[in-house]
Amino acid sequence: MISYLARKILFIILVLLGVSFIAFLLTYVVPTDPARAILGLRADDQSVQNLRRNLGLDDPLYLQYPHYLYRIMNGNLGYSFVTNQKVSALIIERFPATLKLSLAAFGLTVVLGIPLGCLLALYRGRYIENLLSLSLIGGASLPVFFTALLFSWIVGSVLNLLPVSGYEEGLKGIKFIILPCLALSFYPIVVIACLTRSNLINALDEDYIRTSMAYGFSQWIIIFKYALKNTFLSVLTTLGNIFAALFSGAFFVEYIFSWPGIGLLAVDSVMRYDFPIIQGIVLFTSSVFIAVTTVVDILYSYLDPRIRFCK
Amino acid sequence: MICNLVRYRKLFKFVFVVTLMSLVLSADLFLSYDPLWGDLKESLQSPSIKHFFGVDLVGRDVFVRVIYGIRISLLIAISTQFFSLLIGITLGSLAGYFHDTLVDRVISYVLAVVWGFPFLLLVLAITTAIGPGVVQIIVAISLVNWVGIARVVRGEFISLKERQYVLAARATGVRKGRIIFRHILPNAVSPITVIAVFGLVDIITIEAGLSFLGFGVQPPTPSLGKMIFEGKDFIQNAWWQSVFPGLALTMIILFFNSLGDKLNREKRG
Amino acid sequence: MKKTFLVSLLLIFVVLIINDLASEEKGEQGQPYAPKYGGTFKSAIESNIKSLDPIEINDVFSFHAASQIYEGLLDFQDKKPVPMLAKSWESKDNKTWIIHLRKDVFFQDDKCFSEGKGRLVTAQDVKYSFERLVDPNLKSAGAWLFKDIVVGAALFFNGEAKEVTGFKIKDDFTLQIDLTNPYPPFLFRLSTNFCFIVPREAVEKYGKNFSFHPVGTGPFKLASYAPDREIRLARNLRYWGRDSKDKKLPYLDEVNIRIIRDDMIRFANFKKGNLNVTKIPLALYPQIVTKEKKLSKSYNKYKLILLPGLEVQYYGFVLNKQPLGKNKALRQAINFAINKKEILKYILKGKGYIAKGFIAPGFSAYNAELEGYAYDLEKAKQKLVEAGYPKGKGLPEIEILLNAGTEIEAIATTIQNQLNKVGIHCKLSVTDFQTLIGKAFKGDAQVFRMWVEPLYPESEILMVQFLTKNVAPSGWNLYRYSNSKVDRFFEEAMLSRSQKERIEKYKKIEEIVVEDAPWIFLFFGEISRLLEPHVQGYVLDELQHVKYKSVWLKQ
Repeated sequence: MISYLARKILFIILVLLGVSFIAFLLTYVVPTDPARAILGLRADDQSVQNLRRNLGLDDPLYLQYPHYLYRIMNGNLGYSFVTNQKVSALIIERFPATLKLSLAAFGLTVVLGIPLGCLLALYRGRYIENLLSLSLIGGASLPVFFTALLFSWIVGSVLNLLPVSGYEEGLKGIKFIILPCLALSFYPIVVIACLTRSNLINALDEDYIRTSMAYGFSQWIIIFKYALKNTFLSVLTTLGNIFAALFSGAFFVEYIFSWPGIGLLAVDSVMRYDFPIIQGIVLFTSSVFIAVTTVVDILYSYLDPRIRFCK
Repeated sequence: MICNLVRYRKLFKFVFVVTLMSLVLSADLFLSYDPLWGDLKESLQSPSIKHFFGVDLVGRDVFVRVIYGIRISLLIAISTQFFSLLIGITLGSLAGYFHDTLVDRVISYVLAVVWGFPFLLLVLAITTAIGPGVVQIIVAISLVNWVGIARVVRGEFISLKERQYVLAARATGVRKGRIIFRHILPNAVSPITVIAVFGLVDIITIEAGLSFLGFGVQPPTPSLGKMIFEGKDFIQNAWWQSVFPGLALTMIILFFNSLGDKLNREKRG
Repeated sequence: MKKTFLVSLLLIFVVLIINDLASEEKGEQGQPYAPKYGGTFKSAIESNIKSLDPIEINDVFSFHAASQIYEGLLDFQDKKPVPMLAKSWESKDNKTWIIHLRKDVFFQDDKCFSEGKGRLVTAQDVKYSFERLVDPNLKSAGAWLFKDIVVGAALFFNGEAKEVTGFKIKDDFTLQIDLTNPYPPFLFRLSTNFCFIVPREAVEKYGKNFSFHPVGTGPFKLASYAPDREIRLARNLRYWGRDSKDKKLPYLDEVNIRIIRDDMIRFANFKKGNLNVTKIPLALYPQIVTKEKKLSKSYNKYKLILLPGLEVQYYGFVLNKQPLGKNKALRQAINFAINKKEILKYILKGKGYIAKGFIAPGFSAYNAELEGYAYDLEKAKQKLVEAGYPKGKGLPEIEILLNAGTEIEAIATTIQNQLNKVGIHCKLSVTDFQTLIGKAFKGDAQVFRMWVEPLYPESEILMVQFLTKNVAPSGWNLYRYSNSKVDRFFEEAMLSRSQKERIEKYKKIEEIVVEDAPWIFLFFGEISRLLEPHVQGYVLDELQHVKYKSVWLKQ
C-alpha cells in the first residue's frame, strides 16, 4: 500500500512538472508582447524594451525555465506583470470564492441529484417520469453559459428575485451565490440523477433485493441500506469527476455572474497577457484536479473489493 | 393511449431530425437571404412571415443564419472528433496493447499531463498562438480532445488483449499491427462510438463557449455561440437574436445526447 | 424727489448685485446652492483596475479611481487650466517653465510618514514624482512625456545620469523646468495622471505594493480594494480644497466603485437604486434618449448627461503595405464607399457623430467646414478607376484586423458589405486588443480598427501620430504616414507663440491628412450618463473624467 501511494505521488509530481512546462512553453510561444500590453499604446519603444528586459522576457527559453522551476520549488509563483501583486497571494485570495461556489454546487448536486434519481427510478415507466426525464435531459442539453444567461435574465432581471452579481462574505452572501450555484449545478444534477436512476433500477432488480421486498421489508429502508451502497461506487467516480469539472467549469458561470473567483482571474489574466498569473493558475488548478482524481482513484480501488484483490 | 404515443415518440423524433438535417444540408438551394450580410434598414425587426426568426442588428435574417450556424457547428464538431479519434485511437491502442512497457508509460504520461491541464485554458492558449478561424478551432480542440478518447481506448485494449482470440492470434504468429486493427479494435468499437458521440456534445459546447468569449469563428460567418453572445445585450428588446440560436444549439446537443444514450443502451444489451 | 430717486437707484443696484451673486452660487443643475455633507456615492466600472501608481496608469478605470486619490500640478476644465497643487506658473518662451506650488497641501495620513501624519508637499516631491516617470527601472507607461523634451531626461532614462537636470528646484515651493525646445502644450502634459505627485516615503516603504497602497493629496483615500468586487474611497479629512463658498471639500463620506462587467447588469443595478450613476447601454439608448438628444418620457425622473466626446473611431491603413500604401485614390475610394449615416443610425443607434476628420467637436481646432468623405458611390467608383481597379477588378483581398466586441464587429461587417458593393473585397480577422496593437506596431496588418481617446483636450496630441519622426515601431504612428508638409506645419505650430496661429496650423494639418486618407474616418464618440435625481455637482468632462470632490447627495 505504501509503495503504491509513493509511486502514485511520484507520478503526480512528474505530471505537474509536465503541466508547468507546457504552461511555460505556451506563454512564450504566444506572439503578443506582454510589455506592450502593460504599458499601452502611447508608450515609447524604449520603455517597452526596458520592461521586457526587467521582466526577463528576452532571455532565451532554456534560461528562463530553470529560473522558473527554482522559484516554484521555493513556493514563489512570481509577481503579476500588471499589478505587481504576488501570484500566490492572489490565488489564495481568489480561491475561496471558487471553492465556495464549487462546494455549494457539489452539495446541491448530491442533495438534489441523488434523491431525484431515486424518485425517477421508483416511478419508472410512469408518464410523469418520462416527461420529467425528457425535460431534464433537454435542460441539461443547454450549454452551460446559455443556462447561466437564462437564469441570470429570467430569475434576476425579469422576475427580479435574486441579485445577478455581487459577492459578500459569510451568511449575508448567500443570496448572491444562489443563481450562479444553480446555473453551475444544473447539468451535474441531471447527470447524477440519471446515473442514480439507472444504477438503482439495476440494483432493485437484483435477487436479494426482490427477496427482501417479498419478505415485506420497508421499501425505503431497502433502498437506503442496500441498493444505494452498491450504486455508490460508480456514482463516486462520477462525483469525483464532477467535482473536478465543476471547479474548472465554474469559468463561464464566474464570467457571467462576475463571481470573484479563480475562473474570472484566469480570464482577465489571459486577456492581459499576465503570464505569471496564467502559469500560477494552471499549476494550481492542475494540482487540485489531479489531486482530486487521484484521491477518487485511490478511494475507488480501496472500496471496490474486486479491484483490491485482483491487483 | 399514452403507451401508444410513447411508442411513436421515437418515430416522431427520428422523422423530425431527418427533416431538419436535410433542411440544413440543402439550405443553399432555397434560402433567399444572405447569411453573411444584410440590409441595415431591416435591422432588429421582430419575427414575421418575411423573417421567421426575426432580423439581427446588422440586418441579417436570423433563420438563415441559424441554419448556416448549425452547419458550421456540426462541421467543426464532426471534423474535430474525427481528428481526435485519429490521434486518440492510434495512441490509445498502442498504449493499451503495449501495456506496462516504455511505449505505454510515455503515452500514459502525455495523457496525464494533457488531461491535467485545464481544458479551456489550453484551447484558449492554442487559439491565441495559432489565430482564430474555423480550421484553427478544429486543430486547437482536437489537440486537447484526443486525450479522452485515448484513455478509453487504452482501457479497452488493456482488458481485451487478454482475451482468448487475441492470445490465439499471437500464438499463431499474427503480426502485431494486424492483431490491433483486425482483431481487437473491432471489438472496442462500441464503447469508442459511445464516447465519440457524447464527446461531440463537449466539442460543440466548447466551440460555442469560445465564440461566446470572443475567440472563435470569424465574422461574418455565423456561429451559434457567437450569435447567443451578440444577442445577450438585446434580450429585452430583441430577444430573437439569442433565443433561436440557443434553441438550435440545444436541439443539436439533445440529438447527440439521445443518440449516445441509445447506443449506450444497445451496448449494454 | 431727489432722495427717492437716489434710494430707488440704490435699491435697484443692490437687487442687481444680489441677483448676480445668486446666479453665481447656483450649482450645476440650477438648484440653490446648499450642498449637504455626508453619504456614499455608488458608481460602477466595467473592469478591474490595473494599478494605482500614477506612472503605471494607462487605462480609464485605474484613472477613475486614482484621480480621486492623487492630484497633479494643474487640471483642465473647459480647455482652460485650473490650478491644483501649483497655484501659478509662467513661461516667457514656452521653453522654460516656472511652477509655483501651493504652501498648504499635505499628503494623506499614512503609516509611511513619521507619526503617521502626512507632511507638506514641496518642490522636491514634484521633482521626485517626475523623475520616477523617466526611471528606466520602473514600469513607467509615461516616459515619453518627458524623455525627449526635458533637458537631461534622456540621459537619466538611459541610465547615464543620476538625476534629470531639467528639473531645477529653486526653493521649497518653486520648480523650474527646462525644455530642450519650445513646447507650448507643456501644461497639458503636466495635467495628465503621469504627473500626479507621490511621496517618496510611500514608494520606499511599500515598494512593489505601492501600486495598491496609494498615498496622495487628493480628496479621497483608498479605504479598501477587493478585486472584481469594489473599490472603496473614504474622505480625506485633511484635504486642502475648498468650494467657492470656502467650505471644506469633499462633501461625500465615501465613494464606492463597484466592478460590474456587463452593461445590462450595471444598468439593472442602477434602476434598482444600487448605483447613483450609469452609462447608457447601446441596446437601450434609443429607449432612453430621443432623437433630439433629450430624455424620453419613461426615464424623465432621472438626469441625463450627454456630450460629444473627444474620442475618434477609425480604421487605420498601414501605408507600407501594398496596394493600399502607395495608392491614395484607392484609400479615398474606400472612404467614399462607406455610408456612415446608416451605420450611425442603425448600429450605433444615433450614439455618436460622423467624423469627417480626426479632430472632434470638443477641440478648439475643430473644423466644422471640413469636407471629408461624404458617402458617394459614384465618386467611390470613379476613384477606383483612377486607382487602377475599375469595379474592383484585380484588387486582391484586403484584411481588416479588429478586436472583439458586438458593435465593433457589426460595424466591420457592415463596412465589409458596403465595400463589396463597389467591388472591394475584405476579410475580417477578429482578435483581442493586445494582439491587434502588437500586430499594428510590427506592421503585420493592412488595415486595423482603432479608436483614439485623447490624453488631454489639446489637438496637438492628435497630431503626433502623423509625424514622420514617430513612425512605428519607435513611436505610435502606426500607419507609417509621412508627409513633410505636416511635419513642417507641426514644427511651426510648436514654435509659434500664439494659440490662434497654432489652431490654424492644426487645421491645415488635418486637411492634408484627410486628403491623404491614411484612415477610414468613421465616428466621434458621445458620452452619456444617467444620474439619479438627488445627485448634485456631478460634472463629466469630454475626457470622461469626473471629480467626486464636487459631488453631493441631496438626501
